[in-house]
Amino acid sequence: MNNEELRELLIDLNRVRDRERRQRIVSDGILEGLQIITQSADTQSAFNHFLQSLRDILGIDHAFVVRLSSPGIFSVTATTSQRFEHTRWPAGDLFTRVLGGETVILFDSSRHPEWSSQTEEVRRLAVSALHTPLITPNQQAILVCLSSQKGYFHSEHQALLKRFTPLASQALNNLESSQRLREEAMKLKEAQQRLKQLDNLKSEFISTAAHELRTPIASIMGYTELLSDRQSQTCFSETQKEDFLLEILSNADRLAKIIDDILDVSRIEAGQPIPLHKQRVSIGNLLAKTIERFQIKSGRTIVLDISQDTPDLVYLDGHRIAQVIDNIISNAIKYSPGGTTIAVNVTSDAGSVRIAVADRGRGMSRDQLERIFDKFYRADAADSAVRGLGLGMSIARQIVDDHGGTISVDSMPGEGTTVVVTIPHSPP
Amino acid sequence: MKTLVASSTKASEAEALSEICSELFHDNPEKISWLLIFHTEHYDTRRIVEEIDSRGITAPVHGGSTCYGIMSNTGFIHKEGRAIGAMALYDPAGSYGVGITEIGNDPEGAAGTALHQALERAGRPGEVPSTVWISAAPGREESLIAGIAGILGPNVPIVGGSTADNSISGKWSQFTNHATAVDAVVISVFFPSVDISQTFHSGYDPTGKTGIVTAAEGRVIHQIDYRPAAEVYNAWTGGLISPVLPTGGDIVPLTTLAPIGKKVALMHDVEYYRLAHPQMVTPDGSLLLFASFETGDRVTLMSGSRESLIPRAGRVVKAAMDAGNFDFQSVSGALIIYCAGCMLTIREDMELVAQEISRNLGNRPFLGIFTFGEQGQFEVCRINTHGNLMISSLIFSNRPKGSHSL
Repeated sequence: MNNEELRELLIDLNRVRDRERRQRIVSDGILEGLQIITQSADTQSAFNHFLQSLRDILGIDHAFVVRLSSPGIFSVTATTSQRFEHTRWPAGDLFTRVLGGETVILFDSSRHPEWSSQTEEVRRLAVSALHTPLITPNQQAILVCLSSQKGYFHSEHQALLKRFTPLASQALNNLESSQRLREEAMKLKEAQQRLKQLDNLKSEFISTAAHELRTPIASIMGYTELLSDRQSQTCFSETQKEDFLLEILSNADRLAKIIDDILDVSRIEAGQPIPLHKQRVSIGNLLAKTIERFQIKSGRTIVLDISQDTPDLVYLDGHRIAQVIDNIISNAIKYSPGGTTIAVNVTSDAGSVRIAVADRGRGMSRDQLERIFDKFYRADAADSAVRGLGLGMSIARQIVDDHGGTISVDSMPGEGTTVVVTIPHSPP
Repeated sequence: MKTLVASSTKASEAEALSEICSELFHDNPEKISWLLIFHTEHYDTRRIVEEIDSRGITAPVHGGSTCYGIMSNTGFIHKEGRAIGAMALYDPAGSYGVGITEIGNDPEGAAGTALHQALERAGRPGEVPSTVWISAAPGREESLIAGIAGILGPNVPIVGGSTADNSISGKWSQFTNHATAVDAVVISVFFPSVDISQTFHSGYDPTGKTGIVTAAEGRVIHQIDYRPAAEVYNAWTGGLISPVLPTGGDIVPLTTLAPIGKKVALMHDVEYYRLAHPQMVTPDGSLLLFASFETGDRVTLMSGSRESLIPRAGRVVKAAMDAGNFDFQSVSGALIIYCAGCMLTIREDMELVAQEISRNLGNRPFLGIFTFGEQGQFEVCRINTHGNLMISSLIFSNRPKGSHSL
């Protein structure tokens, strides 16, 4: 082997060594970049770290990511500099080619038509640019690396990015997936907690329902025994016996209502609508009768005020709306002191009749308000003096919803509660 | 990517082009992406351009003149120093463009103008191409490279060779689809859809005889170590140019195996040299070369042998194959720039040179041209340079671009 051949051999060896050296530099850079990404807390900070690591690996001035924000327009979604935050590009030949998988290097962006519309400042920062496709967690994007140095980028940058960006995309995807998994796990945990709460409420409901059913039954049984006992019968006057029968009737009515509520809730739970029989009903009469009944029964003052512009006939199921109003007034009576007045105001608003029932009772906390329409929820379950299964408001909402109306509650602790129901005047 | 190569030694431009086109244009000529044509001084460049135009070729045509003949996978081709060769690239997914500008007094500006023309023609204004292919009238290649690098940056490979004639008598030419010139630069830009690879090589060995250029002007070295340059050179070479020294004169045939080198890089203890071929001794004892030096440059006498020149081109091709990680199946075709001085030195063995190239390319098509100056990029140090007695190779693969990284 002569000197020339020896030298050629050395040059060949040098090429191999140099390729290994460059590959090592690239691999080190890629590994470092990936470590930074995978250690990030969330996708956005990972993106920022990704761009920062690119700056270090490539020795560039800036980098940003653009995505199609609207048809034909690319906008910046992540950047190393605020200067590019609101920058936009038309989706012309260059960006379309890059989305198609090509890497495009500009030695002088000012010469390119798609960059020509940028401001002087942006063009000054982006004298040379490298555009390469980036598959991000949500959609295709373009990574743009910039240098203020003319002709900075070359095939080695391109080769490095070709290896780095798919790995970085994968790392970002993994991060996005694990973040999604964490969020899903959190949601599952919350759902589990809700189910547990519901389970507790159901257990409580069974206990309350048993109690609620037992009380009228015990009363019915007691009075029935008295009336059926021949010896006892002689002890009671005819008036007393009539009172006993009225008590039996009242407790039977209460039992029937409890059973109706349970049946309604089971329908709602099964996803079945509550059957409605709508017709033109005088809202004035409906409210007056309900209020009268409560006034007689409770001895409370309930003031009804109907504005003059309210149409008297409203298209609704009289029995069901009476059930709603009944429930609201019943709650108002339960949760307000005996001497206070309950006001029922009726107005007309935007094609609907608006019924507001206001009491001056104990009111509700924010937490109680948030759960007021939950099934089995009772605002004050600890107060055994307040009867109920915690189904009334849940059923009321379903009935109002089925009428195409709304129901809302406004309350402040210590200041009372106002429940507002709206029902459209006419059929839809 | 499909690469086709054809050649002819027919005397008339019409007959030669007819023969070439029948081999190149199996398909519609409109499907050609880029066409390279090089011819010896016997042909009239204008008539070649007319012939191209008459055949409906709309692809960018990059043309120039070669010394004495051409090389292809069919061998060293010429008939008494007359030949014409062509290579057609079919790459519908790629983009190619060509530009031509008279060099005049502003070679850097001319290179820039031709480059921008080529980029516009490729539909890629402002974009960095994979490779720049250059052919120019000999004399100002360093400035032309500086003009291109000043625009694209220093890293894009600039590959090519200076147009030549058979006897260094100024009968060289350059052309494109519609323009012909004798003092112009033709530049093509490649945005191929496939991977390409290039290498630039000399292979000559430094002798250890070195000195500092103490007076130089462009391509003339007046003094080395404060002594007349021709005298120093003659001493280094053991009297190689003694017969010419007293009066001055042409020394090209004498100095092919003893060029002057300038170290351009040192990588991993291996020195890389750019070579300059001594062309003439001036009456005042200066040396005129085919490449420039500056005062202060350290120059070294390089040494080569006929035996090494024969396999060298094949080795350069193999190096390009290795650099691109190509095997025979992945090669579409290649372009070889081979120093005309080397070719003239081993003319009778050029058939072996062509065979060596062909063997290392797996018999894939290639076109080799003989030039008065070679341009290329030293792969390891990424320096684009102009030199003499060098070999440049550019291999087109049929592998999608980006298949091989680094």
